[in-house]
Amino acid sequence: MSKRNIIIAALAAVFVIYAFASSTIVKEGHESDLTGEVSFDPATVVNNFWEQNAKTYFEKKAVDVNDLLNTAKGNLKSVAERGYAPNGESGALSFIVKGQGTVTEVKDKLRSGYLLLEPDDYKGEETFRIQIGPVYKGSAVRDTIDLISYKDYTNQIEWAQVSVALHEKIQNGIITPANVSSLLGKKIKYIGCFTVGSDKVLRITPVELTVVE
Amino acid sequence: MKVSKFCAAVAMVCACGMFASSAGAADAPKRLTGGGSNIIYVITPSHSNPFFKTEAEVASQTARDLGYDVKMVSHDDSPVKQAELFETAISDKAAAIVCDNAGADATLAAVKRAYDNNIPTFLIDREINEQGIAIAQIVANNYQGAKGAAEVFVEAMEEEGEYAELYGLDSDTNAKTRSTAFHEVIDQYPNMKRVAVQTANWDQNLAYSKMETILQTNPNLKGVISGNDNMAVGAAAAIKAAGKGPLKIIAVDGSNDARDEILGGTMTATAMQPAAAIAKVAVEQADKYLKTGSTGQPEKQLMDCVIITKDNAKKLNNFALSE
Repeated sequence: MSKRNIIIAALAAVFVIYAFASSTIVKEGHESDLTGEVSFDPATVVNNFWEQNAKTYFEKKAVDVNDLLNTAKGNLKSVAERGYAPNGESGALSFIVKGQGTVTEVKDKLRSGYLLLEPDDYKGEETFRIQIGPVYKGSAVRDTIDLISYKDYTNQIEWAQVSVALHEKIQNGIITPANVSSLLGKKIKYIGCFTVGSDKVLRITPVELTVVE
Repeated sequence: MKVSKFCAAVAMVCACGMFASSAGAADAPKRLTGGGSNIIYVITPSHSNPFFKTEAEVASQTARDLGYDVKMVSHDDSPVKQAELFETAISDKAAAIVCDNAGADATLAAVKRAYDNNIPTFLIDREINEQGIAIAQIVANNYQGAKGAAEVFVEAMEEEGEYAELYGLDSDTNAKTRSTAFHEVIDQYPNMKRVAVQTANWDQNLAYSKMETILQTNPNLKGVISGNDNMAVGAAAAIKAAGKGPLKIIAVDGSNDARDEILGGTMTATAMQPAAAIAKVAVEQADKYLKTGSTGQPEKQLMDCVIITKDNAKKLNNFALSE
């Protein structure tokens, strides 16, 4: 290598080293460490899911509620393989179900309102409540979506905000348009999610709700 | 010619640099093999709180059963003391550190120090605001527990009335998590009015004196939401001492003291954190990690709380529920 080339190479090296030394490398997704700007927005996460995946996701994964309960014979843990336990075996178990029934009571004066449902073709001892908000108990919808996971969030508060945003989406997109106060005596068809509780009440948060007749 | 040679040289050096840096970024997480000794450090807040006492004792016992020597120490919720204890663990060449930490941000440096010294840290109970430096963060689902307790509270209050809030230690991430979860539920009921909020640092005696003052200025108080059981038990005692009938009180933890208050009708509900299970799992994962280089689990792991009311309180003992 000629002397001139060595000088050129050295100059180039100095130039590149300077370029690296004088700049700060920020990992993708860590921009906020430098700017202090927090970019987390649960509404965007939920909107994206809701618009791109929700309908197909829930329709594909919903199991027939009568079939599920008949198979479980009062012990839903025995059919855990058909449900979702995002926090592992020690965590709560949730299911995505579909079913049909007649609305026998509309509890829309409560903040945690619900429709009491007489299910078609099922005579078990469970009580069916379709949650109509505006306060929703639990986080069954979030916990049945295996595309979003706690490990992707900084802390439990962010993780909880995803559930809050989902419930807002359900309130505005499913419950309000369904005009729930007019549903007494009507037959409805639903897809929804519930978490197994300690009592015999299925608190189903609907992700689809249609009036059959 | 000169310019083109210069450009070519710059491009080549850049390419080498980029290759080197991208190769570095693509590295799998470093396997930490421990400092060299057989000691597991169990670092928790003060054992005066039965919750921390239980988790420290269970973690220590599990570690001894697995053949480790154990050093069980407390940082008393001081990040400075915690940093010193991490340094001691490093100089003791600890095999691993199991820690219930003293602050989501204040702890980052200490865990990083251990990481840089080849010592894996397993966090229990409280999470930190960063991933990739601790091997595991195994925490109770505080949010789910507090939300469940708040749902019971609203029902017991019949959706209306004045209530006070006792807030935990500000530096503890769980104080904020629990309070946020309480309010996610309660704030949606327009007739529920929070008339007082006080920090009582998780402490029973402090809660007692804060509650005395709250009761004097709020004669119509109907309920109390408390960040933990210790403060709830202190509040219940103050309410009794003031000659008031039992108010609706909820908290989070699941201690035997809270169980007794619930059975006695002076508390409404609590959310039991599986403290014993979390401590045991953390040590077992530390052992597995040291032996195989992997815990087999994601870093962030949640364990759900169980809502305790008078219906199931009898089954509760030392942060575990019998079937």
